[in-house]
Amino acid sequence: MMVVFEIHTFREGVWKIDSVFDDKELAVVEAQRMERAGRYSAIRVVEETFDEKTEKGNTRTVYRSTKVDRVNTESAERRKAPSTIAAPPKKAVPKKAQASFTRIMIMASLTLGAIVLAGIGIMYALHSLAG
Amino acid sequence: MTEPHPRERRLVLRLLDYWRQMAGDCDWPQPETVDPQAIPDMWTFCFMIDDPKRAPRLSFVGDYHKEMYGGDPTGLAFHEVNKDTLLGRSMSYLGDVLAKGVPVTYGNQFVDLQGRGLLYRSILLPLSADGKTISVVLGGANCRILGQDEVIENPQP
Repeated sequence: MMVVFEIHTFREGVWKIDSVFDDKELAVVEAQRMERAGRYSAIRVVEETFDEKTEKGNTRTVYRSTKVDRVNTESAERRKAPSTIAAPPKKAVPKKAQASFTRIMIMASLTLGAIVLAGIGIMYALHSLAG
Repeated sequence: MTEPHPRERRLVLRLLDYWRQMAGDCDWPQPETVDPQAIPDMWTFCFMIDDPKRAPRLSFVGDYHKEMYGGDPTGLAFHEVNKDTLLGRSMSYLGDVLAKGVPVTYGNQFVDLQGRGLLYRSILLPLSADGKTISVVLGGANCRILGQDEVIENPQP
C-alpha cells in the first residue's frame, strides 16, 4: 500500500498541489506554517492511498484550514468566554419632567393644606355658634 | 512568501522554505537564484540534477554526500548513481517530481553499500530556467546512522 500526503492550496478560485510528503506529521506542520503566513485562503492536506495489488486508490482530507474556519473558531471561543459587556445605563429622567413632578407635588400639598385649614375654620365657627 | 522557520531544524522544511522564497509568485524558481552563500549551513547536504527530463545528471554534489557516497559522484548520470547510497535513495523519486511538478519529500531506512543502517529524509525541488519546463532539480538530504540494535523496518527503496 502506497500512502502520500499532498498539501493543496486554494488561491484565486483554484486548488493546486503545492507539495508532496510521505509523512503526515511533516505535511501538517508545513500546512499549518503556510496557513500562518496567510498567503492562501485555504490549505488542506490530502492523504492518497494506492493499493498496488488491487490497483485501487483512495483520497481523504486529513487536515483542512481556511480563513473562514479560523474566524468561526475565534467567534465560538469568544462566545464561550464570560461576557464582559456592561449592562446598559438606566434611562435618565429628563430635567423638565422632574420639574413638573415637583410642581404638582407642591400644588397638591398646598391644596390639601388649604382644605385642612378650611375644615378647621368651619369646625371652629360651628363650635362658636353652638356656644 | 511564507514566514521563515525561526526554530525549524529539519533540513527538508528549511530547504522547502528557501525554495518558496526563491519562487515568489512563480511555480518554480530559476536555477540562477540558488545562492549557496544564502544557505551555507544547508549547502553541504544539497545536490543538483541537470536536465532531469531527458538525461538527468548530477551537476553538483555537496561535501556531506561525497563523504556518504564514498567518493565524488559529480557528473554521474542518474542510472550510474548507486541506488544503495543516500544520494541514490534521495534521487530515486525524481520521476514523481517531474510528473507532479512540485516539491516532493521522502524518508526511509535502508542498509547502504558500507553496511550501515541509515534513517534518512530527503527532498527534491523543481527549478525552471524558462518558467515552462523543469530544467534543474535541487535536492537535499541528511541521515542518521542507526545503531546495531535498531531495526531496519523497511529496507526496500
